[in-house]
Amino acid sequence: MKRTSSPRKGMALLLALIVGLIVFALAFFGALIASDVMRGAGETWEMRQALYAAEAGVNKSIRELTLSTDANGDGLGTLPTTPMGTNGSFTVVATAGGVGEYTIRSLGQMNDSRRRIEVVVRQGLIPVSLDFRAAITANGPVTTLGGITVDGRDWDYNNSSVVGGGVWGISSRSTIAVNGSSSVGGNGRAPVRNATGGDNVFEASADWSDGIDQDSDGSPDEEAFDGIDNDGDGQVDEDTSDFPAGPDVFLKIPGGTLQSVAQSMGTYFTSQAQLDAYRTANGGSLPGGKVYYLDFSVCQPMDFGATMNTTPSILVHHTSAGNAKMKNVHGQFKGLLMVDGMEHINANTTILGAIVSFTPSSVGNAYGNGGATVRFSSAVLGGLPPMMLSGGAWPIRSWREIPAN
Amino acid sequence: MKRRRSPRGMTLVEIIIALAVIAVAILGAVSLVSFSMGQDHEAKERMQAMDAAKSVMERIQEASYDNIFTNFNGFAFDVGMLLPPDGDADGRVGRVVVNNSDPELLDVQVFVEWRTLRGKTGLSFRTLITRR
Repeated sequence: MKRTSSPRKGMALLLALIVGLIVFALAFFGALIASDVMRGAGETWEMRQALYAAEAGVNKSIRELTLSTDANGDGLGTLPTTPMGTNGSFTVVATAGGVGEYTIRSLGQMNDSRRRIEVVVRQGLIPVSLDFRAAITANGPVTTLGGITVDGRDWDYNNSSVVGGGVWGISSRSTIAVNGSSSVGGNGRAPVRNATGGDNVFEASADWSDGIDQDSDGSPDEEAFDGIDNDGDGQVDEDTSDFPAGPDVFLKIPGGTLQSVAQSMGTYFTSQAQLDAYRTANGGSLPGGKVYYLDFSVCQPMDFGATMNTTPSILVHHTSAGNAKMKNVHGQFKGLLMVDGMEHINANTTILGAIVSFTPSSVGNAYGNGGATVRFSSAVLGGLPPMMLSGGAWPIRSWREIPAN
Repeated sequence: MKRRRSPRGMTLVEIIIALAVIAVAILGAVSLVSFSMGQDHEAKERMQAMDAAKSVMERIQEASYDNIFTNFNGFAFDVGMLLPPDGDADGRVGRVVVNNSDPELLDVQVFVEWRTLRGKTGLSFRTLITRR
């Protein structure tokens, strides 16, 4: 009889193979997924580090802009591929935009991951706080002689008409004497010859305390106006009681800013000879849009030139001892004049903007005399050159990620 | 009398081989599952470490520039349940190193090192920060 093989023969093996295969396949796919998660974690780290590398490139580029030194000769702010840790790097291209503005594109790389960011940086402007009490604001006595006219009404930018009531003609923490044929106007009132306190055009014994608690700390006017955080609340000169201690303090900008700006503009002078040489090189006048800083004790004469500068300037005559004296002023000047002491604003002088003087004592026999004119102009003071430092900050104005390839 | 083989059922050999196949498959699967769990655990730890390092780096980037070196160089921190590697000096898994050899361009590195079943592992982030 022929043997027939059972249809169940080998079934156990077949079933075992199928079950084993399914179990193994499930475990294998599970392992693949776990591996993928692990690889994903690694790629996430790479992508993040690539971004940090790109940001490192931006910061190094900003550093080069700050130094104003093109270290590699490839353009200011542009950097060649620079290693950043193991297997990482950044490459930067900086393109100059408007005045004091750069667009920085930085490519960061970590292994095979790449990220590129684009930022726009603009050189920082130091905000200036302008708070004028008068056409002439003085810490010490002010005496006017001869035919000088001081007008605190608000004159327009071109010195052609009065556009507002303005401020006091003169404000002094000390005495004011309007003598000779001199006249003072202000607070909307046309100049008055031999004005007195009753004419309401000047303020003598000016009180710089305003009785207001600006910082809401319960103590009004507790800060000296000195550029120092006297009450230790993290704010400087936020609630002052006194006359400002110097030019930077008056504008509420960091100490040394005006000097730094003047140095960067090539208009910082430590002697009368340097000033005279500069003026001669510029046709006998002082070009507008500048910050001039005269760091020597006596400037005499101070001749601004026969033609008024078209754009306003700031001229500072100040020494660290606070004893600078400007004497025998002539010519036409548009802008802000800040001096320690002033003696004799003379006959043909026109100053459009404002004058501030810091010396508390008398300087000579008169602040101004002759037929000079000093006029307040908020339009001129609003157009003073920006406090832009060549070595100053470069804040980021915009930031975005762009495709890396 | 001649014994006849039953046409039904399976032989002992078949059953033994089938059990062996299943055993091998289960052993392989167990080892793969074990590997997967290890990978999953390590990935979670790595993500946790990365989040912590990222968070510290962001704090540094947002800090006042003048305070970065003083406040963050040598700064140490913990990360969840991660344990420091054996022999770690300060017993913390995270630390910050700020190199100020150029005081106006700080080289900032945030390290996280922790203990795993297979020894120690770690990650770090690095960037440069300047005054803006």
